[in-house]
Amino acid sequence: MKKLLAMLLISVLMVSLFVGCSSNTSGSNPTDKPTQEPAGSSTGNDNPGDSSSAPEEQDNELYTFKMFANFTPAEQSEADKSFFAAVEKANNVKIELEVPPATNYAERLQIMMAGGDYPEVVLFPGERDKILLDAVENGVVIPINQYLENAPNLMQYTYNISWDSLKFKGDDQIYGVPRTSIARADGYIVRKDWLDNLGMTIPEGGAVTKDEFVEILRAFTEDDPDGNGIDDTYGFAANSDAEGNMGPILTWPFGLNGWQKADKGPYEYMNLQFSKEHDNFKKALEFTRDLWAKGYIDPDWPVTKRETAIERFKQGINGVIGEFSGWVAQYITDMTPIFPDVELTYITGVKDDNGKVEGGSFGTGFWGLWTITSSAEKPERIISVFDWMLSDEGWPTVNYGPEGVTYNVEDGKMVATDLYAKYSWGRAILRRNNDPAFFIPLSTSEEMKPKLEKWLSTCIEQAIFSKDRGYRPPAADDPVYIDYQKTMNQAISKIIVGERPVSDWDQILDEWYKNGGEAYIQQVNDFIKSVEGQ
Amino acid sequence: MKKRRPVTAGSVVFDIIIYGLLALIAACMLYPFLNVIAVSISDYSSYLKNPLRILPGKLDFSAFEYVFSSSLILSSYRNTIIITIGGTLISLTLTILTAYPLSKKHLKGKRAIMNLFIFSMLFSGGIIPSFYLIRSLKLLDTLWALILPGTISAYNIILMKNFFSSLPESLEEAAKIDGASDLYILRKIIIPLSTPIIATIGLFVCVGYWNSYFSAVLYIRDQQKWTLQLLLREIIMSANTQLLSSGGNLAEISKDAIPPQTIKYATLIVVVLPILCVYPFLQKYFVKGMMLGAVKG
Amino acid sequence: MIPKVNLDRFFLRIGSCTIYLGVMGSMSAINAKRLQELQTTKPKKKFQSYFLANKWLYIMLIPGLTFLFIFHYIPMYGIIIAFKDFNVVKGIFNSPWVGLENFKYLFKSKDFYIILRNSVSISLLRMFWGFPVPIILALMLNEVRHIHYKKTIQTILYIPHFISWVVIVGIIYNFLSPSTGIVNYIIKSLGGEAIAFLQDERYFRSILVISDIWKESGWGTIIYLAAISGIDECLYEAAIIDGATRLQRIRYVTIPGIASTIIVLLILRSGSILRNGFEQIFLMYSPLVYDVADVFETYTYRVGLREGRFSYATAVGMFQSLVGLILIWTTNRLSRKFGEGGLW
Repeated sequence: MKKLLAMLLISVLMVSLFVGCSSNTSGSNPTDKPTQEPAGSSTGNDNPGDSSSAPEEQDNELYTFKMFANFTPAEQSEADKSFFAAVEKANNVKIELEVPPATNYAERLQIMMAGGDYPEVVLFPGERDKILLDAVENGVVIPINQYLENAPNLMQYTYNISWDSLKFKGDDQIYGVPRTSIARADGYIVRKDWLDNLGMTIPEGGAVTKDEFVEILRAFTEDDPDGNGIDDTYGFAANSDAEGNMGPILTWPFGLNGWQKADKGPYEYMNLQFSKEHDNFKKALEFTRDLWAKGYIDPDWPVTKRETAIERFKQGINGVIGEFSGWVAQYITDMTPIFPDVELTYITGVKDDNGKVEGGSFGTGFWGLWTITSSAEKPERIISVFDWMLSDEGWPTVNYGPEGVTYNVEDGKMVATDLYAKYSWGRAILRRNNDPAFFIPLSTSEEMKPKLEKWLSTCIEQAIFSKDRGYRPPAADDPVYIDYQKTMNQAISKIIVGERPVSDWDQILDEWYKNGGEAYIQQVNDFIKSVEGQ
Repeated sequence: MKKRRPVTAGSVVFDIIIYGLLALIAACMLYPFLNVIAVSISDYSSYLKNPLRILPGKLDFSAFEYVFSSSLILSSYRNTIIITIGGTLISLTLTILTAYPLSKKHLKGKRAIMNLFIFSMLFSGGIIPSFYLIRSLKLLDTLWALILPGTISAYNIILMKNFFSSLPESLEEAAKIDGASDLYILRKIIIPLSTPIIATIGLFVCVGYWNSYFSAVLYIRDQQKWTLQLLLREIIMSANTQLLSSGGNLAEISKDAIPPQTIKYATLIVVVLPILCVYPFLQKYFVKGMMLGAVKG
Repeated sequence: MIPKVNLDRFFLRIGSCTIYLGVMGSMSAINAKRLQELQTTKPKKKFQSYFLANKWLYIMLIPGLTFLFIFHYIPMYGIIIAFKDFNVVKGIFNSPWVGLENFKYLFKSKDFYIILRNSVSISLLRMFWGFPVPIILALMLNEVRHIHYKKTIQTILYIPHFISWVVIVGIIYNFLSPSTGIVNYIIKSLGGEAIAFLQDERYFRSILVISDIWKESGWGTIIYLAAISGIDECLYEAAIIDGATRLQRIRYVTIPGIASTIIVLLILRSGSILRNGFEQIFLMYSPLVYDVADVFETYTYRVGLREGRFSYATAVGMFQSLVGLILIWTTNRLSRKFGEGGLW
């Protein structure tokens, strides 16, 4: 009886799966690329990796696995539930989620590892966490190369550089599925109403020169942009990073783009911040220090965390903030009740001395990775679930949630339902690396859409990767090196606020070299050479 | 009592100074709470306009609606109430039972036991051995795991013991001569005389359980067994958490993940209000003169 | 113009050890006599009969000791992590031993002395300025005769304890902000120049201590209020008959009545001399004030936990505990010597 029921269930699932596939070819999918074959339901598909299109070639028993992940908000909404239901249905799997509190994810990860009872899939937030490397070293996290051969979508929609950074042992073994984040070099949100008040404009194309940038900050600070007759505004809403460290507010225009091929100096690859032969970093420090001294940067900067910086921009204290362009609409919503006439625009970047904008230093192309542990009996099934999420069938579901739940198709257009706003977990699993539409929510107004698309594509175009691929060399674990990081960060902050002269940087760098910096540079160089050489 | 304390001019001045000072201090201490309440019942833009407000701006209760729409809030309320009541009862019983013998000056082996307690106050084995222990006791994912590890606190035992040993020994000796056992003395003489300290330690323990979250982090997988304080931390610490987990990647800090201040403050109110109400009820146990009556009666 | 005084230094100097000695000295006189009266003659029986006579006392200890053993001493083997190069996956027992390597490294670290200095000085500042506040508050509350006024004030004082540091720190930022803060608004309207309090090494520790007092002292009064309500009313009546003023009653009845509680709390406090808590400092500090604000907890977080060096973090914690233990033992011994009883 039980068996019969199971059979029945499976066949129902299979049928609905086919139906699901065919309904998807109806052309309502905005992400369909003409160059890609639609994932049809034809059984004659010669693509063996696409599990959804060739289920009969696969082991299609119901497979249950546990997934240990960090999602926010902590509570699974109805929309998220139906997303996982859709994934389970399409892949004939059952996913048992374990979502620890995000505030203490690290502790839970540690205990889970110590407990020895590993879930099949584990999300690691950092690609070079010691706990992850320990797990790789001891065979708890397994390489997935052989399964990736059957995962064409994963391969197609992931940066090559991401795979490189997951080769932890220096050989070709890949130890995880990257949670891709579309690489961008983000620009700045600017108070357009303030610009208008002052009769200023941002050049066509969205990028400005350093001088123009400074002029905007100056005018926002000194010329009473909000017209209230009080000197209560500042230019730039800066914040310290998660660890409280400050840094130059502009780096890319000074040629500081992470690890790149060096034009001079003893090393083939260099992060110019550490170069004794280049004064780019000193220039960037000087620039920031100057703006700080003139008062164009929020005077609360050293103790301002990201959240506060955003708040202070929304309060109308500052007029420029470094931000991802996708959030402009949210800023407008939050600010309109206070400033009914608020208008925002976006500076896509600040040009370097050659008039070019390029930047971005996320070396890995992802934020966290999914690993598969030794307790997985069928790693291929797990990989195929991930692969499905990036397939033409799965991707719209990942991006917008399951059709009929978070959105409905009306007249060939996707219309968000109430649940759409509550859908977030699915969006934090995997991404296609080439689909900026991911960042344009269905609720975006028609007026905003083209602007957003333009800003996004500009930011994506100008992004370059740092060549270190997030590599953390052994030298970085040396206690002496870790200790010296504090001294260095402290010095940078003090130089910026004028407590130490910029010229101190040379001496700090010398010390850094002596305290493990030299080995650090050498090891990163060796790593880059070994990967680039391939 | 009043007639024995004559009202003099000096006494009146003294009163005015003390009443005034206390009012001033209380105003300072009340401020953050008023601010939190005012923000939680205002709309987000009123908060942005003046984050330090103590009067609400445009009234808006949607933050509370949001908090109560969460299915976790009710379950975590239930869990927190269970562990607080259960934990307080168990812990208070254990503390009294342990503190009483230790308050006896003549007790042999007392010094060794005290050393054991002091040592446990300063050193602990860390989270991993504790996790193994709870697992082998089969308490993972149960509310017992949130109650039992915290029942014994050296700090509370020392305070309780200190109070017990300040009680006049003549009382006990009289009872001993009548042939009463130590258990009887504890029940009939010591405990009734010690209501202030029992109320105090009870409050400490109770608040400790109410505020506990770390055991829940370590030992609970099922979100339905989360405690209130853990839920609160998830909401008010979210900005920090997000910043760390996104590694500075601005696009990955989403607006859903960081709720606005109004929601954070509303959650705070929902979490602390019940425990704030406990204290006024306990205050009657702090009334002076209890000892007098007891000794005479 | 606001004179730029190094407030922290000033606090430290004034504080010195006067409070410690003062409190202990003033109490010893009255208490010593009472203690002597209470001292019973030691029973000189044989062990067995002693045990039988006191069997209930020992039976009462069983549940507490069982819980102590299970939940504190069974997991205690975890402290060997401090002597190992701990690898989570291999587990505690299979990770390789490194002997005292972690400790050696801690003492050799160039930050060690800065961190030790900061931890001790912040802790002492808190003790000297923060420890007496709840006592004074409790004494003041005890003088309030309108029962409703008293209850209301008591309840209000107790509230800040329940407001998370994140929220308190947010409020402090807003108050002290050099651009939008109310404090600097006042300074500016008096013709002064804005002061970036939290970015300034001279003010940081004072703000830390003051905000801590603000948040916790009301909560701290509870234990003293309990102690006060345990004082025999006869003593007050006798004092009134002798014509003692209210201040004299406080001085000669109330304070001696709570002296043993004060001593106990002081001894316990000395055990946490190297502990300052993580959350408050972590939320408030920045690289600009590392030189005065970096303490063991923040250091452990930065170079231990965040980098996955659990062994090192454990070793640092062990050092803090060891110092605490030694101090508790010493102060307890001292206190007994001065006839104050102590913890045991």
